[in-house]
Formats: sequence, structure tokens, C-alpha cells
Amino acid sequence: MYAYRVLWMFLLGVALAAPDFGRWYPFPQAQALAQEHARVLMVYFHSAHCPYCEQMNTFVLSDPAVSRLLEERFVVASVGTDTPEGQELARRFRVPGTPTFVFLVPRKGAWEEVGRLFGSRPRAQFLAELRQMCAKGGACE
Amino acid sequence: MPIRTIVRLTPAKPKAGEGFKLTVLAQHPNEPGTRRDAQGNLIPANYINLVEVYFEGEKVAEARLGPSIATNPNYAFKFKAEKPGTYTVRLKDTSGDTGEAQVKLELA
Amino acid sequence: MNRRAFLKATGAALSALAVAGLPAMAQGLEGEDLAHLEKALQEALGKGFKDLTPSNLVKLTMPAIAESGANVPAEVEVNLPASQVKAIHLFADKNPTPHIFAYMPIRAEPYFYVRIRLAETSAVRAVVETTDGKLLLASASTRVTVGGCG
Repeated sequence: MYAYRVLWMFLLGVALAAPDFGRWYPFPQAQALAQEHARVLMVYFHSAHCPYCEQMNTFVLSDPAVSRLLEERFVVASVGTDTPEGQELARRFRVPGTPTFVFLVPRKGAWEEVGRLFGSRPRAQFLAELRQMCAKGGACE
Repeated sequence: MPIRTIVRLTPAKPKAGEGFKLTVLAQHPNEPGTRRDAQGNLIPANYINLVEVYFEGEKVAEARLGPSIATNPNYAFKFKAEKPGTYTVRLKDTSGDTGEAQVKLELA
Repeated sequence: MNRRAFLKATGAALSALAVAGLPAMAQGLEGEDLAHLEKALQEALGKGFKDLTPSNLVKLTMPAIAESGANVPAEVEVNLPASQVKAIHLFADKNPTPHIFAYMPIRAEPYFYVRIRLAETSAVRAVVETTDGKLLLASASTRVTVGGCG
């Protein structure tokens, strides 16, 4: 019985220590997670009525290969540009429109942009570009 | 919750022997199960997978649909006008919700 | 609605590709994925692509270009007596679930129209099951525009 309890506590501890990288986070939280876990931060700027964001949400960001790579190597920050906070971030990153993906890594105490993508794209292209960003960010060898 | 369903005929009053179109409009998200929300979570699939058309109680057409139908879908069927009567359209989604609408066929 | 700005450069590049790719059209449609289609055909019909007979009795109408894949009109009309058509199927090679619909025109004309979603630029197939067991095919291709909103 005791052994089970120890095992249970251990599993709970693991679950608490490993955040769910399959979902997206608000910008400050995502930034903290990327720093803590040495991952590439992908800041996804989207807006509610843009059909190209809808296309990314429905088919590209849920593609199994894309999902796996994001979950294994990235932290995704979800920024809706319809909110005041989102607009402020979009200005700060000079985002031209939606969808935009800005890739950041923490280097020497500052955030360095390793690349960005503007506009929707087919799944295979997005996957290839993610791999490039991952390599540039030092999270993929 | 019932699915909001609208049916109409074009032309509204066809001549006997003439072809006409029966158009169905439904208010439904048709969630394909692959869409992510703003938190990145997958929205569970829930889409209309069955559309049946009855004329005077007899089934005259049936469409089985997969997850790739647009939000707020419309479907169009073609029939030949033979005699006046009532068309009933029944919809069902993958969660078990249903919708129904009727339209009367009158001949010109 | 947001103001929209198409990525003109991308569009131009795609058009250039399409023009350059014209002689290759005989080999395959834009957005073709026969391996993925084959699995869906087997699952839905128990038959494969080689069992389908291209036929101009089947008229599949798809837009050449769709601004987004969220809402693409698809229309199939079969130029056969209603009594000879058992079912009309639609498939999109590139969709995660390629089988889009099965339509049984029990007492209706062999015609069906619906607005569909496309995952990306894809070949689209109408497959008609006749009452005497033939499988007739019509193919088309719809390019789903890539772009952004400014």
C-alpha cells in the first residue's frame, strides 16, 4: 500500500513538473516556460476573422507531424490581435498582419529573434520551415 | 438542441414534369475535430453526418457526410415535379442532435 | 471582417509554377495524393483507383481557386437516368479524411451540391456507383490560396 502511495506521489510529481507543451499559452507564461525548458518560443499572432488563420488552426497546426514537432521542441504563445494586449505585442514585434509566427530564443539574457513567417502555408511547407527555425534556435541538431 | 434548418425550392412553383432544386440551409459549426482553439486545444468533432429527404413520408434521398463539410452548410438536391406534396428534411449530427424542416411543393 | 491583403508574390509564384507545369498536367493534377486517396477508396468502396473509369458522363464542378479552404462549393451532376445511379461519392486527396460524402439519390435526380472544407490545394474526385456495378470517375483540382490578413 505504502509503495503504491510513493509511486503515486512520484507520478504526480512528474505530471506537475512537465508542462503540457501540446497546448498554447499566453505570452508571459510561454516566455517563462521557453526560458525554463530551453525551448524555441513560437509567438503565434492570429485574429478572429482572418480565413488564413482559420486554415492554419483547422488543418496545419493540428497536422500530426506539425503537432508532434511543436510539442517536442517548442513552446507556443497564442496572441489574439483583437485584444489590447495582443495589439500592444503586435506593435512591439512589428507584426505586419495575421497569421504571423515569430520565433525567439533566450540568448545572453535577452530574447533573440531567429526568424518569422507571415501568411498561411500548406502543411509540408510549414513543417519544413518549423524544422529550420528549430535548428536556428539550437533546439534541433 | 435542435439544429436550425431552412428548406426552399427553386423555382418555388415548378410546372408538372419540370426539374427543381431543393436547397437546405443549416446552422451548425460542423466541427471537423481537427480545429485548435485559441488555447491550442483540439475542439472535439461534431458535424452533421446524415441528411435525409422525405416526400409524403417516403425517403427520396440520403446524404452521409464526413467531417469536411463547411460551417453553416448548405446542401442542394434536384427532383422532378410530378405531384404536389410535402418534402421533409431531417438532419442528424454526430452528437445526436437533430433538425427538421418542411416545404410544400405546389405545381404551377 | 478584417481588411485582407493577399500575398501577391506567393500568388505570382504559384501562377508561374502552374504555367511552367502545364505539360506535366497529363501526369497528374495539382494537389494529387494517390496513396492517401487509395486508402480512402478501399475503406469506402472496397475498390482502388485502378477500378475507376474516367467518364465524361460525370460532371464535377469545383472552383479553380478558393480564397480559403473553409468554404468551397462542390457540385456533381451525372448525365445518366436517375434509375442507373446508386451513389455519388466525393473525395479530396489531401484532406485528413478524404471521403467527403456519399449521396444516395433514391428517388432524386443524380445531382448533389454542398460546400466543403479543403485542407490545402487538392485534387478532388467524384466517384459514381452505377446500379450495374461500374465506378465512374471525374477529377478536378482546387488551389487553396495562401496568404495573410493585413
